[in-house]
Amino acid sequence: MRNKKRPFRLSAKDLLIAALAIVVACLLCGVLSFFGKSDTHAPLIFILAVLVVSRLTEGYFYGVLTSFAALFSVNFVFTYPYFAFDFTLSGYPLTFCTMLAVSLITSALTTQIKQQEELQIEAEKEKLRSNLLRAISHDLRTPLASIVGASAVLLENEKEMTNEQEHALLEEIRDDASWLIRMVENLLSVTRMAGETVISKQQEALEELIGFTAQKFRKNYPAIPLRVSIPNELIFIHVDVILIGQVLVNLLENAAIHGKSLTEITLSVTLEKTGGKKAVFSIENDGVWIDEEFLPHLFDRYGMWGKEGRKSDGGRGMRIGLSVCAAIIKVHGGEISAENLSTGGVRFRFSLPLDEEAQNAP
Amino acid sequence: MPHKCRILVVDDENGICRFMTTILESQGYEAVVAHTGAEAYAAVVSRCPDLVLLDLGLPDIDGISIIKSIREWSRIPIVVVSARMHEKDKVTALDAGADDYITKPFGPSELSARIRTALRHAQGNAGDAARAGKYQTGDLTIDYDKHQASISGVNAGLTRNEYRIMVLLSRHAGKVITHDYLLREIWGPHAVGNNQLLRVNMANIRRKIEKKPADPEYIFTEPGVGYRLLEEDLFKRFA
Repeated sequence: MRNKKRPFRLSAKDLLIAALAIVVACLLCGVLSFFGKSDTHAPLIFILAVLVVSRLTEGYFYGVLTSFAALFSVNFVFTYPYFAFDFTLSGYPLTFCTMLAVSLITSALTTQIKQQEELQIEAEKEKLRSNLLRAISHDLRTPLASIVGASAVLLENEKEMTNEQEHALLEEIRDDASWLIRMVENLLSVTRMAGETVISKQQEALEELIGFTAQKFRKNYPAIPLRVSIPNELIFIHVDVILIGQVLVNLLENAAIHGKSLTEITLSVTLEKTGGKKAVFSIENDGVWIDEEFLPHLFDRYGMWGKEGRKSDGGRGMRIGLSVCAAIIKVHGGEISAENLSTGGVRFRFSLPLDEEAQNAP
Repeated sequence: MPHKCRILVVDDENGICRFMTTILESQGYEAVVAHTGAEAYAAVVSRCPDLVLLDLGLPDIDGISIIKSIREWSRIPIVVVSARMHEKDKVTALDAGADDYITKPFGPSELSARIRTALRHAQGNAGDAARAGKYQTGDLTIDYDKHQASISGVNAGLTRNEYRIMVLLSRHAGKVITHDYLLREIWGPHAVGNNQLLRVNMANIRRKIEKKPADPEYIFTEPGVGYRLLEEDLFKRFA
């Protein structure tokens, strides 16, 4: 949280707000004094000014500053004798003290409310984080248990096992460990987007992005045929190439792992000109459909995290991966969706806006 | 080879060291292990390894400064072992003088391919291409005497700068070349950071050399870092 411990920080903006509030209050009092002889409204208006300043500025300082300014303005301008300081009027010291106290307390209270609001937002973020952490820990435990189990079996029953059995267990260990690495990479993507730093977008060539993603996918899944098709011209997109690469890898892996009985995966990009120029990426497999009931909630982190009972082991990781995809596409100003194809199979699509100027510049 | 190549593995994780030494020994290399930067530096001086596999995240000394201090007096090949997300670290390491990098997690074949490439370049065998006057892999040939790149014997029609890029990549074939290095070498220091200039030229080269630009056979993109040209097909050249 910023400057929580610092009640005073010099800022031109805050100073301006304080000055403006005093000026407006003075003008208002000036206007009102034309309509009546009574000057009791003046202190009230200045208290209001103090309240506004405390609300809009950071820390106590500007509220207190405005209190003093208000006090002197009221004394100088709006109470008899006009345009002269006079602290000797009977009862004035009392008025002075009361108004100072009221302004200070108002200022303090407002600042406190503001801090409480910040605390509340922080608490909500914290809750979200701990929910995410719980869901992830739960997801990570399963493959870890399987790795520990398989390696223990290998170590303890070394002599009684056939080569095939050993091989099967080793494969299982490798697959689970690779899955864990992919998940950790997803989590790293999240931390890359979180925090104060802005993601490092650059103009990237679409063909390079698609090229290395395809290459990486083939390395990990040599048995699954991947067809790639993109427009022939050179297209620049303004993205964080590591994050969008992560989205493509997640979606391709998702298509490979969850599309049962698939024979081919297609990765294609098309350009769309309706509603601003954008690139539409689509990842299609010809496997089985996703349950219609799940479709609307695929990218919905909260919906998925909440329903513990619903997930099967087949769906593990899919949720982390897809919600990370959705988050990445969102920070790039794009949209992501999934649909079952009438011809069989599932299509994931996401769009990224294309910058017109960048297209023309070399 | 008269002696076994000695490889220094620098990593603070015991598990990773054990896994890498196992791979190296099974490939016929001699493996030496260092767990800290200080140990690594001492081992480079005393054990005279032929190659260093360096993890950047060491407990005592920053990996980049190890590379820099080794580079002050030695040309020994350094291959950096790094995690996928840290593409800025990779670029810094390459700029500091590392020869190549390998991304965690990797398998045995990937590790030994990287080591072979780095050793080959270091032992000057890669200079063979220059001496032979040509670089060849698959259908792609770069003829240094004729200043020409051709696909299946047909001139690819590269422009001057495109050809110079290919020469640079082919002289370091199998190793990654950073964007900024290419820009500086081809267009000069003022062009450094002008990524679009490089991307446009690379796109043109791809259209002249690759059958499918989005699914390349020869020039591979290392996201956020640079490019890597497929290593030379040695059997073909000598056949």
